[in-house]
Parts: sequence; structure tokens; C-alpha cells
Amino acid sequence: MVDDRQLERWFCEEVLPLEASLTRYLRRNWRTAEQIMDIRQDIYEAALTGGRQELPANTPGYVFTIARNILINRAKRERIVQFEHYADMESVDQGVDLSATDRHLDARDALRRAQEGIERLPPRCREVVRLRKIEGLSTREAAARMGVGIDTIERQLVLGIRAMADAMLGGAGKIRRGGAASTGKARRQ
Amino acid sequence: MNRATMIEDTAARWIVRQESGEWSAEDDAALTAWLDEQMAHKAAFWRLRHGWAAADRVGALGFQTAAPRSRARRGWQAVLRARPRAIGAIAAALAVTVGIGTTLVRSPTGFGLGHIAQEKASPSASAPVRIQTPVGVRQAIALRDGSRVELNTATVVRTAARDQGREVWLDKGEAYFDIVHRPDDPFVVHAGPRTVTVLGTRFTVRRDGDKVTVAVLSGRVRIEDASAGTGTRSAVIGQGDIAYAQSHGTLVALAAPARVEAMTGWRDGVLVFDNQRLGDAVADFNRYTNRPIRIADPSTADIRIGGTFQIDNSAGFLDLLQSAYGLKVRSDANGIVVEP
Repeated sequence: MVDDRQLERWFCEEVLPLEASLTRYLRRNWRTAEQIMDIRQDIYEAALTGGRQELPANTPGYVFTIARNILINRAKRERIVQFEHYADMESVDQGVDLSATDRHLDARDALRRAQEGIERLPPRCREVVRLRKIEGLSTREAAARMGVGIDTIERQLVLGIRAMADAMLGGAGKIRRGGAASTGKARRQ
Repeated sequence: MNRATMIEDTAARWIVRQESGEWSAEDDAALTAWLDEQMAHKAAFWRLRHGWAAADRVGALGFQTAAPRSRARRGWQAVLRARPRAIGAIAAALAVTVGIGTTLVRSPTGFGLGHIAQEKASPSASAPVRIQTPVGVRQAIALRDGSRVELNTATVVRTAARDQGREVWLDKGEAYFDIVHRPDDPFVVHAGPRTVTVLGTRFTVRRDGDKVTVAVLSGRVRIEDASAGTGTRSAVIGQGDIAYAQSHGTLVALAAPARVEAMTGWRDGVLVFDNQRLGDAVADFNRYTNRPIRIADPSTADIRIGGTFQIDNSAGFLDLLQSAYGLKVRSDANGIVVEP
């Protein structure tokens, strides 16, 4: 068994750097864009579940194999996918090769992602992220500074965290807002 | 909302709470319980925590965002009040700025060219001087004050007339500066819309149109946007740092000494690439030749390459493309074409 600390480190250092190419791969091979995030999440979940037994020697190969299997299973389940999708998935190895290059992000790329990410945030959200990341204000201080409620700051931070994490991992940094359904879920339970 | 979004939203809320400054042992236990519920929770939480921590880099951005901002003033003040890492430097710069910038302090000994290497016409000591290197040629010049400037390929540099202060204009190309420190007489490099004020140091400036890159080998420099209106925007960078200035702002990469070294490889006649796009590497090579290399298609240009290459031996570079990447290289009337 791999303990959580090791597992998290492997996930952050080996799996997450593949996110940009993994997402591209999913887009190429799955036509419903709204489902990409769900599928990616399933892949991560499966990768962690397997990785807990033993960390793989070749992480890109491992992750993209999982991706391919999950896509095929989904395709079978939905019965809407045409044959050529299966053929495309045979090209998974190519995806792996390309992905390897994504892993060595230099500081310049990371900075570019940070800048692009923050520029894409909606103005109010950007201000909250600035106050947190640049000024280091707490939620309470940020609320006082902006003259808004703590709830507002928290809501904007949730969006900011999701969008900036996505941007830093090579995504577009655009996120769909969560509905009211989950509001307060992580609050006092 | 789909499942993944819901989980991600909840994970983000946990991070917000954890960072709120009011985090108790109970909270910690509750988070652990949530994480243990499903591997999907761990995946989402670890991913966000990792990505959000990486976003700390925004602290190193001394930039003005391209998007119009209703509260630009306030945004700038926010930067000024920021953490020491990003901001101490800028505050210090503001202190130093007093008295320099466009008002020039006169140098007691005057300033101009002492001698020029490679048999350039010797300028009259009092006149402004323009020096130009052809494609593929590097040249070192010594300035009257003891400072040294090395011009890279296809570079145009002008110096101020004598008694006009220590000023150099980089009109085009790239140059390395080794500047004699004089506390009361700053050395200023103008690169298009950017002004680099030297606080005694060695550094390089590269200009591609509006894009200006400054890499510091030792000491400190301040980069200002001369085109900015009333509110001057500036960033101070030190040893091992790189500033990338473009029309919409300046990005600062702190502590990137390996990259700085790579960027000054031309002084030793080499180009150093570390996981760069083939397209960019080729563009770098093409700065040194009149027989440019072209890449036939965009996906080939995206191949990442690394390595150290002799500037005057592009054949070795092309060989590598052929043998290691299986690309086809052929010559035509206009230059060299690289094809998949």
C-alpha cells in the first residue's frame, strides 16, 4: 500500500502535469465537451485507486491507458459513438509522446499561465485573488477592504481557486460556476 | 451541475476554509473524513490545492493587466502594499528613482565611446554614436566610463553624446552590459518603450520590436515603462532574474539563474535551449543567418527541443533534427526547409 502522502506527491508531480495533454486527448476523442471534466475526474479517481496499490513505473502510459479504457467503456454505455472513435483511440501512444513534453514546464511558462489565468478572471474575482495572493489578506480582511460580506469573498475565492488551478495546470482557466445546490456543503456540517 | 463540478466546488470550499485563518482540529478531522469518503474527493482536493499553490506566482508579476480595469489605481496600490518578495524591491526602486529617469545627472567625466573594437570609425568623443552589427557578427565596445557593451547579431545601439549622461539606446537586437557602478550617476538603457536603469551590474537586454527581455547576471536593474502615462510602472530585478516586457505589461521570473545563463550563451558563441519550441529555437538561429531555416508545418514547430548548439554551426542543429526527430531537411532557393 502506498500511503496518502506518497500518493499525493505522485499525483501532483507525475499525474497533474499531464493534465493539459490529457484534456486535449479527451477533446479529440470525445464529442460532448460538457462531459470532459467528468471523464477527467473519473480518470484521476481510477489512477489514484490503482496507484494506491503500487505506483506505476511509467505514469503517462498508465494514465493514458486508463483514459482510453474509460472512454471505451463510456462509449459502449452510451451506444452513440461511431466506429472511428475506436480507431482513433488506438493512437493513444502518440498522445503519450506529446504529453511527456508538457511535464517540464519552466518558470517562464508557469508565469505566463499565472498571468493569463488572472487576466481571465472576472473583475471582482480577480480582485479577491489579488488580495489573497499578492497582499496576503485573510478572508475577513479582504471583506473589510472591499466592503462586502465574508460570504461574497468566499464565493469569489471558490471560483478563483478553481479557475487559477485550472489555468496553472494548462487549462483555459474558465470554469463553470457551481449552482446553489452545493453552497455551504463544506461549511459546518 | 455534474458530479465532477460538484466535488470540485466542495473541495474549493475546503481550501477557502482552511486558508481563512480560523481552522480548528475539528475542521481538520472533518476534512480528513470527507477526503476518505471517496478517492474522487482526494483527486479534486489535491488537484486544486496543488494548482492554487502554483498560482502563488502571481505574486511575482509586476504587471498591468491587459484587460481594462475599473480600479486600476487601486490595483496598483495593492501591488505596492504586497508582500516583501514582490514589493520590497519595487518600494526600494521608488526610493532610488528620485532624481533619475528622464532627468539626467551629468557625469563629471563625460560619457561616450572610448574605443570600438573591429576597426569601426572612431567617433568624435562628443558626438552621439551609432553602432550596428551585421547578421552573424558579435562585437564588443568599451565605453569611456569603463563600462563594456557586447553587441549580439543584427543589433543597433546608440550612445548619448558626451556630457549627456550615461545613456544607451538599444534600437534593435540584443546586447550584454557590464556597467561600472556610480551611485550618483545611473546608467540607463532605453529599449523601445522600456527603460532599464542600472544600479551597477552585468545584464543583457534583448529587443524584438515591442518585446523586451532583460536578464540579470549580477547586481540589480530597474525596468520602467516609459510609455506609461502619469503612473510610472516599474519593476526591480536582481541577480538570476529575468523580466519579459511586452506592450501590455512586464512579467518577472525570479531566481532563474539557469535560464539567465542560457540567455547569455551567445557571448560564448552558443545557443542554449531548454525544452523550447522548435519554432522558437529556429527563430533564434535565424537571427544569425541570412539563409533562414523555415518549418513547413505548425505541429513540427511545436516539438520541444533542448541542447547547446554552436551559433555558427546550424548544420549540427539540422543533423540533430534529422537523426533524433526524423525530420526532413532540404535546401531551396530561399533557405532551408524542415519538414515532417
